[in-house]
Amino acid sequence: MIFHSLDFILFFLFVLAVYWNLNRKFQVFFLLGVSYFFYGYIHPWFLYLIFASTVVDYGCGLAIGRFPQHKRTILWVSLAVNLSFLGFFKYFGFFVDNVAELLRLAGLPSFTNNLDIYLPVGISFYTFQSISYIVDVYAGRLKPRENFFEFALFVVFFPQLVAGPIERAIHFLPQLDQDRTLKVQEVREALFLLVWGFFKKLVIADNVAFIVNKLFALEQTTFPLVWVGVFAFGVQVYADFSAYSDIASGSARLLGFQLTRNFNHPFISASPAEYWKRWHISLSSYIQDYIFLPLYFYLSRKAIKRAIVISLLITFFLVGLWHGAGWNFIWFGIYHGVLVIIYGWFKGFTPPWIRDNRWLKPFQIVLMFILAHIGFMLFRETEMIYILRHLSLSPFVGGTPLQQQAAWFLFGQALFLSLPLWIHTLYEHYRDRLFPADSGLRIALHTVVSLLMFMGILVLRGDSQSFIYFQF
Amino acid sequence: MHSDHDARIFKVLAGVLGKSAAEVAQLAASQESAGGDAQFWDSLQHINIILGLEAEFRVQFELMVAIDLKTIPRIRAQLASMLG
Repeated sequence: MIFHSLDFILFFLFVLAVYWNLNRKFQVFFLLGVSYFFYGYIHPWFLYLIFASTVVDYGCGLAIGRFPQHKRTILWVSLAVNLSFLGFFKYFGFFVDNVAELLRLAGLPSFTNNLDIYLPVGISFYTFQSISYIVDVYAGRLKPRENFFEFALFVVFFPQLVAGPIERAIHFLPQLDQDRTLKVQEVREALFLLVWGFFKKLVIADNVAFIVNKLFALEQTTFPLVWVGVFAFGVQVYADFSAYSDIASGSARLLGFQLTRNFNHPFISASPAEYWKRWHISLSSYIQDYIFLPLYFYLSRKAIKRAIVISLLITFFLVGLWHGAGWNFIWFGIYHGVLVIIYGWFKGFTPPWIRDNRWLKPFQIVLMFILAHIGFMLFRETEMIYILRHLSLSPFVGGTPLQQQAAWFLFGQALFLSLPLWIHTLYEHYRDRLFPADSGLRIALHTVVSLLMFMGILVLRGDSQSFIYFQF
Repeated sequence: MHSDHDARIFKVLAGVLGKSAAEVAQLAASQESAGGDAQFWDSLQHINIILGLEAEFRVQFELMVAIDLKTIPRIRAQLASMLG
């Protein structure tokens, strides 16, 4: 079931109507049931896999609590099962393709990959969630959850199941122990998030997708057309993915749950490190805590030379691989890792009067914006031959007058469609000063803007596209 | 908690963060008042702080414990439990 469908709206209204008439204990059963329905509605077969993953991690969590002397072995069992599921369904086909290609390149008898493995939607998200639970139980940060239904709800909670935010057990599970209430302010904020999320998806992302799809499909292209396409894709992917997170957060709030914030205006970042603190925050903080820090600590303690460089490259390689089974995603990850390394290296010998100079910050933001969009090109373009072609285009060749006109026209359209995103960034920057929380002014503003966005959705919505991050 | 431990913790932090011991003491106070959850250093500095503390106090933190030592109050508590 996808958020921007009548099915979901009816489903969610039904869930709300029943949910708030149940006591806390039955709310868990009910949410678990409707979450399985939500996921099974996409494909019933997916339920077997998520249920198997849930049973294994629930059992391993309990086993760590009962047999702490064997906790390391149990942790490895859980990791092996989770990563085997993820590896098989997401990466096995990619692996087989590459083996076949290597054999071909070596002049050896090769084969054609006839495997057609169906990727269960959201597997990367819920696998990471389950792993966070086991690691936190192993580390003693969290007690094993005795109640199977509560743990199962953590894994399958429908608002964020398919495309995050990646919720950590230590953040989500304690919320199940508290009484959930629905305050008027919470409802207002949740509804605003929902309308803003639907507006970003249906009006911004789906309309700009038209420009992106046209420009990336061109056989004969030029430097301006490629980079207008890349800019438009940056708008699309941010609007699309942050829309999903906002709709997930808004839906969860209406059920009395708080989800992790996933985006914090990434396009005003002044460095790659800041960018990853603002973009897909639930993934980057997860990767930092569960992969980068342990790895860097381990290598540093072993006195491995350039531990930081090795740790960053491995970490960002995995970030890329998490996004998808394709070389473009791997290059996307490595590219960002190299950016972090280069920036860190420069930071080491840049004097503070340059590094912390607020007059230079706008230039740093523009530079980071451009660098982030080069990354988006790697993200969007799956064929290496096209990536190399785009990068080799000369900025001094604008193409025919028609191509130049088209580039300007489409750039104007993409820029216009992105305006609400920039306004929203400015608004959030000044919001608490100009419109204090819960003030009549803020309520009035949100009401008017929500109505305008709602009308915008009715009149301006683009051709419906699936959420980009569904593929992960 | 021994004030001697505090002085040695502040020395390690001051070296990694490029601040004076007095500034680190201020950081510690603000972390205490923030409930001990506000982190004032990045992930790279974090690892260097942990390695510095291990060298200074001649202890070895478990990996998972080390990852969690993100604030001065937590560092104090962990060292107190290890050193008495």
